[in-house]
Amino acid sequence: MKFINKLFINAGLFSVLSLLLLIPVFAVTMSSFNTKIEENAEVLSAQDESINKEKELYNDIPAELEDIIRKVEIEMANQAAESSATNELEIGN
Amino acid sequence: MFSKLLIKLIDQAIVPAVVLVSTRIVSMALLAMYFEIPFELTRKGFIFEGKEQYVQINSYSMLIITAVLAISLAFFLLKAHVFHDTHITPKLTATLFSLRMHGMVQSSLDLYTKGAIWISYAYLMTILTGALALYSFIYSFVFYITLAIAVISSILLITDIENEVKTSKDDGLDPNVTFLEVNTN
Repeated sequence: MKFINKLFINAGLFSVLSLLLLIPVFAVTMSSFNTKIEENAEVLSAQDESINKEKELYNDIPAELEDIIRKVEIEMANQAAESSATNELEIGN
Repeated sequence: MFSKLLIKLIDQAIVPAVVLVSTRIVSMALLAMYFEIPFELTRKGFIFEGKEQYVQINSYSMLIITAVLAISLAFFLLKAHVFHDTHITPKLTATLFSLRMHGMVQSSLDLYTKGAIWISYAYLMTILTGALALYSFIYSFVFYITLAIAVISSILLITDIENEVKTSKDDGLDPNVTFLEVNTN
C-alpha cells in the first residue's frame, strides 16, 4: 500500500514537471494566421487567371492595371467571405 | 514519501517556464508593433492576417526566445565551470567570501537540476523550431541556431561533469568510506 502511494505521488510530481516543461511549447504554438482569407485569395486568383485565359481578357490592358484589378477583386472576395461568416454567426445566434 | 529530486526539479522549472512564456508574449506584441503588422488576440492566441507576416513575426520571436535561452544557459555554464564547489579555486573562494558573494558558489545538486531543466528546454525548443521550419512556419536559420546552442551547451555541461568525476577520483579517498571512518592514525 505504501509503495502504491509513493508511486502515485511521484507519478503526479512527474506529470507536474512534464507540464511545466511543455508550457513554453504550448505558448509558442498559440499563434496562427487567418487561413480563410489566404485560401479564398488563392482560389480566386487561380479562377481569375483561368477565366482570363478563356475570355482573353486584359490582353490590351497594361500589366500594372491588371494587378490593380486583381487586388480589388481579391479584396471584394475577402469582404464577401467576412460578411458571409457574420451572417452564419447571426443565424447561429 | 515525496521524491526530493522531483520536488527540486519542479522548483527549478518554474522560473524558466515563466521567463520563456513571458518572452514569447512580449516579443510577439512588440515585434508586431515594430513591423506595424496588425494582429488579433483571441482565445487561440495571436492571429495574423497573412502567412508571410506570421512567418516573419514567428521567426524573430523564436530567435528572441533562443537568445534568452542562450543567455540563461551561458550564465548556468559559467557557474558550473567557475563557481562549482567541487572545483572552484581557493583564491576565487576567498575573493567571493571577502566580497560577501558566497551565494555564487553552487553545489552539484543545484547545478545539475538547473542544468537538466535548461538543457531540456533547449532540446524542446530545438524540436519545436525543427517542426516549424519543416512546415515553413519559421525561417530555417532559427532552427540551426537553436540546434547549435543546444549541442554546444550539452558539450560544455558534459565537460563540467567530467571535471567533477575527475576531482572525486583525484582526491585519493575511497568514495565508499565516510570521513568519520577514515583512519587518522
